[in-house]
Amino acid sequence: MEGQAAKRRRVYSIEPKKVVEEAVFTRNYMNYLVPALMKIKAGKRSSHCCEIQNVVKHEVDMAMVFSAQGFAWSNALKANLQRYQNEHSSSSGGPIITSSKSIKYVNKDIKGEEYEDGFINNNNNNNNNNNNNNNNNNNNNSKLRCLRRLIPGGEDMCNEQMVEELESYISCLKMQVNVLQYLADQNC
Amino acid sequence: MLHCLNSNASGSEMTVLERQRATIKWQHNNNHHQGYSSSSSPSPSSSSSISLVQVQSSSPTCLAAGAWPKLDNNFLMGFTSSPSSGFPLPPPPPPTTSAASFDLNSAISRTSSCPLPSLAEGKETTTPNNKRKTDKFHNTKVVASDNDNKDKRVKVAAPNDSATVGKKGTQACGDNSNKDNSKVSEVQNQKPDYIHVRARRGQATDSHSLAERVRREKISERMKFLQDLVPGCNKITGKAGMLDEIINYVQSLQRQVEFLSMKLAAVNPRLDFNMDDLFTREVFPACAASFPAIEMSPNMANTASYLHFNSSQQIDAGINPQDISLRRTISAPVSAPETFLDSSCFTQTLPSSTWEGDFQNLYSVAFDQARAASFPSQLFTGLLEPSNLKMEMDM
Repeated sequence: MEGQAAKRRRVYSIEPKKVVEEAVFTRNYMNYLVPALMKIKAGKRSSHCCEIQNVVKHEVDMAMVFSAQGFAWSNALKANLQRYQNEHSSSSGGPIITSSKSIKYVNKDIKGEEYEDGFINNNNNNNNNNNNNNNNNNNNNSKLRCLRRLIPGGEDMCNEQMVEELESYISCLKMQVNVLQYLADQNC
Repeated sequence: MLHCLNSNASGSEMTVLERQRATIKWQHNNNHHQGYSSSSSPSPSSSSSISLVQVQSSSPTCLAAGAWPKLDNNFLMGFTSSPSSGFPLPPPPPPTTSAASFDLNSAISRTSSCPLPSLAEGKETTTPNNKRKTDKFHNTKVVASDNDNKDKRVKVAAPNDSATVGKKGTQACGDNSNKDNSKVSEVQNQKPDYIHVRARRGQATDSHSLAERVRREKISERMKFLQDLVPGCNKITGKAGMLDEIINYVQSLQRQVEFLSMKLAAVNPRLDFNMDDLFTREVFPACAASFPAIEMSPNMANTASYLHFNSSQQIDAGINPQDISLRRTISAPVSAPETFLDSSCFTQTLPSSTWEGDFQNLYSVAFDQARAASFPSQLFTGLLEPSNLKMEMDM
């Protein structure tokens, strides 16, 4: 565990906790997303639903990046998106069905895998005194690994930073869901 | 901080033998001092932790004067009920971090973590007086008393302690007092930086483990913040359960985002943001509520309809509770636009300087398109300007 943690250095220095205000976030988010959506609608050529979906998803994520700047996860998300965009633009124009971003969220087996790992580790644990501790630690570690995959850029963070980033990430996700729900309801 | 009985060397350079001597001498001469003033009253303390707590709190200077034998990392002195003959002290030179150790008063009742980030480098970590490390004959770990004043940690004897390797000191300590814990972890690093960490019973006490433990404790603190964010986590106390909940919640949120974005993509051909309505109607109710004294005759008629519209729209939007909660956040920024409204209403000047540049650009773009999003009311601050534009056009 020590070795793994050593690999993941703290990406950003320890800063005072930054809080994303709801009104500010929502305003920025809408400001970015709505014109982008209008542009998509206006500039739509091919009616391939997957492509539109990807583009919309891309814009949704970009709006998120735009609205919540200064966090490690938002920078990582931005990097992911730019990388995706580069791949996108370099492709020969066919519809991009899957991207690293779009399948990111549909990863249902994260927890299952991790639980298996933890279970196996527990079985091999011979130290009776520390058995409970190790079991718990293994479980916790596997869950922290889960979380690390969920948060963008989590692979490069140490545990401590990841938990910090989680706070802002969760609150921004909540606000994002609110805004998107509102937009979707407006147009149904 | 406990200063070893070290007459000839600074604590960081004690040899094994000296530490042993210090330990044994300390154990013999130590008594349970309920209140450590300079007097030594041989009162066996019911819990050794109390004496240490009081020691710490009462007179740092006494300690600094070398009353306590200075031990290297995490040496936990054993308290015996043997009659005390005063504190055994050769006053050693107080270490530089002795002052730092006195803030462990507050840390006694809980694990303390030091803000030093680079614990893993193997710097010497010293625990509060409760725990110290000392060498025994063959560099095995010796368990001495734990000064933990937590009841749950007070145990009878060291034999249960898995970290105990050397039994001698342990039994000497443990037998004497009913409630003494025994735990001493070994000093390995003798660097001058002291990070006060509590090693729990039965856990490894080398510097790496301690550093790791500090990190873990910080993580646990953070998890408590997360409890507020994740709904339904208040009842769950275990770390594993919390992590489960957090994982589930984040996954569900992400899935929701994905679903909604797909929905927006599907709806995209029919996308129709009624900007005009929303700009004016969403904005002014909050505005009117804040500026009742401001006479806005051209807007009054609108306001009534806005209020009505807004309430119905809230219901339509289907995010009523969220909207309400979002509204609450507007109360602060609402005061800012007041000036704009004043200026725009009465002086008919566009408040341009205070808005963010990109903000304005976006809005102008949106206006040009003649179609805009239906902004919820929390965008009041941003929408005020375009609505003022509209107002002036009407006037």
